[in-house]
Amino acid sequence: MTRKGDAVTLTGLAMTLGLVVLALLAPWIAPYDPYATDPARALRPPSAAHPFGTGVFGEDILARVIWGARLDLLIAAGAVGIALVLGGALGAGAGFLGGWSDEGIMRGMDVLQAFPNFILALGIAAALGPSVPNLVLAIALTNVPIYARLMRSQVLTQRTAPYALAAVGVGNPTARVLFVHLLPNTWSPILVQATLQSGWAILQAAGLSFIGLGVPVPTPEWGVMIGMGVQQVTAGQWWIAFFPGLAIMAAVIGLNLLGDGLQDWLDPRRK
Amino acid sequence: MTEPLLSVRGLTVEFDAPPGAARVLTGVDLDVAPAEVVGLVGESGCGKSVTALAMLRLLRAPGRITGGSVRFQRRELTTLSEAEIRRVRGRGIAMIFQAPRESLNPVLTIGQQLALVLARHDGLRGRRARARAEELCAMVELGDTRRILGAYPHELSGGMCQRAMIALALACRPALLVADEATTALDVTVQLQILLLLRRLRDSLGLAQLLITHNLGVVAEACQRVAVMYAGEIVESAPAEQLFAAPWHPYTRRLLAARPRIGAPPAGDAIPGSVPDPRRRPTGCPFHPRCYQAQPTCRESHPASEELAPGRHVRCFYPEPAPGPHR
Amino acid sequence: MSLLAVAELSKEYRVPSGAFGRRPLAAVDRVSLRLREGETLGLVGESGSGKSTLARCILQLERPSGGTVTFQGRELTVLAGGALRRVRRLLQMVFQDPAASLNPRLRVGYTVAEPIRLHRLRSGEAAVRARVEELFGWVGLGPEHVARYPHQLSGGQQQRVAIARALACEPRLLALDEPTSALDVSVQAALLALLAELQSRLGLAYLFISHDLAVVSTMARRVMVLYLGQVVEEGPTAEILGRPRHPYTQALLSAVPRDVPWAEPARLVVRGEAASALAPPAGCRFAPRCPWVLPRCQDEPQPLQPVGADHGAACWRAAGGELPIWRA
Repeated sequence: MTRKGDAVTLTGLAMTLGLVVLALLAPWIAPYDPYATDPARALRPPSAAHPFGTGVFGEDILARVIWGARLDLLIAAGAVGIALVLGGALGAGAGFLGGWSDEGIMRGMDVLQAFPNFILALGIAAALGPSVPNLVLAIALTNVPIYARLMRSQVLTQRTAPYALAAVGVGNPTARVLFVHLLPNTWSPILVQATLQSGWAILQAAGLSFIGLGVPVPTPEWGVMIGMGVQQVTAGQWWIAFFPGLAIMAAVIGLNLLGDGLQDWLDPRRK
Repeated sequence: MTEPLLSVRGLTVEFDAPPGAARVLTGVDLDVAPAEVVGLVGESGCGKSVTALAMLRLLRAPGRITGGSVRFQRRELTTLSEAEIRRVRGRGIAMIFQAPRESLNPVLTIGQQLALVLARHDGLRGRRARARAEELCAMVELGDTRRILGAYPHELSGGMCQRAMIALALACRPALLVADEATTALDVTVQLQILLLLRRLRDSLGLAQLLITHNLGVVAEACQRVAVMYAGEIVESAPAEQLFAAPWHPYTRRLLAARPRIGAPPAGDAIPGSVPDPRRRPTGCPFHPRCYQAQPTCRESHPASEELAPGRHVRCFYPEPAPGPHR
Repeated sequence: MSLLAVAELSKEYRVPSGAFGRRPLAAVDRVSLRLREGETLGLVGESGSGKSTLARCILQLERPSGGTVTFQGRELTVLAGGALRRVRRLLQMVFQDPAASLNPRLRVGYTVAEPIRLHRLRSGEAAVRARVEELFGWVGLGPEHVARYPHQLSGGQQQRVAIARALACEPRLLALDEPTSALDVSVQAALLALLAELQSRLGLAYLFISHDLAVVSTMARRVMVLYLGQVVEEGPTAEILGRPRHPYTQALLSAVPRDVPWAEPARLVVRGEAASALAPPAGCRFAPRCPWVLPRCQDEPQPLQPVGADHGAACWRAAGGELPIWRA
């Protein structure tokens, strides 16, 4: 990989790590309580006391953006983690077993993918009711087919590779072939996909919360915050929706840049 | 000797490989006379493909020409403008590669691909283009012309794809055909067909050829002169008959001896060690660490290429102008 | 008794054809062979001849569609699970592409140690490690290579590791599938010499697969020539090379490049290329390319017939003794 590519990946890594640090340290670095309201300071533009301004109820936007990082990254990580484990297992099973298990699993994935992603998440979230765990579950389920397909194609190509045949030939039991030989050679594109997908999961979580089906108001979550600030934009109070929007953008771009470069970093030949 | 069609002198190519530069070609000299077939032979990584790419100015970064000249039909190719070198590729020098099917455009029929080339280079269209396309197919012995012209590359066998590639190469009437491992991916029975075709093209069209291959048998079969490369240098060049009868450079001798021969036990100790990393080239003669007759001189200084007999150049301090041990 | 006896082995794939249909592709068609302890059988064929599929079917890395594979008196095609793994330890394979045949994420020492641990051929870590180093020594690698990853080795070294892995199983038979064709000439020569030495030291039987008659002839006393999944000729190497009887063998031998530059083509050049195994000719599969084809060749396949001492060819003309004997 070129040095330029490395620099881009490092930028992505720095942006992602920055957000993670922000999320971890939220209780200590947030300048105000994210739930604290004060009608006396409502709708103040950005200033030294409130760098990102204040909202309709006088809540500090900066504090809420910082706490929002915590919640949004958690939702993304949870959703992608569940999708990866579930989809990975289903895909590995389909690819390795073949035949009817393969047909059954993959047709199931087809059904899930037949709905537009956001509509499906919307339906699941609406059915389960707005809460953080339900939001995570809704996003996870819509992402399962992505990992199932990717894992299946990886296992299918790797299982006929000479090294896999050799592993069978020297006497590895089936489970060992799968877990010791095949899976370690399949995870790098899947990890890349998971990184890229985390950005989308944040966007999806924010979107669902924005329309009121995700995290309930007034939780400090970026989508909720944009929803709360969006009416104010026409009145000239742009900062309420702008800063959480910026945070979403930073998270999505950071994770995408990182994901793009990760493929090369995970190549065993780079060791 | 007649004036060469192609004359490469001191061609040097380096690859930027931080922190330094790796020298992959060192002072390559190579001549191809009109209607002559020359073989450029060597093991993987010796620089034979880089030589062809550098000649045609097809090297990509980080590789670049850092010295030497390439004269073709009395023009210096290393300093031509991009537009001029593009005219030389195709019209002057055509190139075919190892993977014929991948070298063809998969979504166009052979006829359409020929039509594109003929329209662009000769301004031929319609019936005249069709006639020329059929003529080219006949030239490369593609058989059922009508079917072939209407076929997509995936509908043809490997050998037929290579014939189609040759037809495309011939469309611009080049003076020199560079074939980079053009028969390597083919079955031997098909390889023989293609080699015989190339030989007939030389006889009928006077087409000069530079055949790049790792296969010494192909060289012996098809070439009039041979240049042997090792670690980015031409270590020996000679008329094919003489080279195979009596190789003078130790590397050539051992390379010939290393080939499996029908009915003989394998020659295991032919060449010990492995090809040097271009970033860590040995001092002196690059072959000395693997050479069975290396002397202190070989480690200290770099031998120049010397013409020891008419047409026989050897780059070695201790050449052996004696019959080889093989065969 | 034979170490290995293969009878009427066939492998048929069902490949997609058209929008919904599938049709059979006979990659290997009723091949029989025998191999004794310490003996080498050369399998020669070009692309599509089924030689690799045959080897994989013998080792049960792919399940044959028909026929039997008997190894040390045991029928392999009916075995599965642990029973198959225990017998298969004795039959190992070396693949063509050395880089692809090693797990890129494992150190090569681990790869070689794996079968020793799996089959408990040595007890205790120290004994396993000592055995790995011994095997590395056998294949001409040093202890410093044990901790390397495959990509840190050259192609020749990678193939040596693959051979060491096979030997770690303490096999009786090695199927060598084009073990040197991805390597340079000098590396190839050294590897062939190593294989010959290992064979005489360990008394291994080899199934040596190659497209290159010259390579096979240096390794095998007996040769079997495959064309589109069928055996067209078989016999002692010297016989096959000196007096090839099947027109395909003659063409193959004739196509091997020779050292006489611009030699007059006293060559047997065959037309076209191998037909698709999807639509094999009804009669002799070589008939469409054969220079001596008879009308009956088109519709009546000729079974392998004796044409000399211990020498068989599947050709009507060769069986009738009317084929010109082509000499190299």
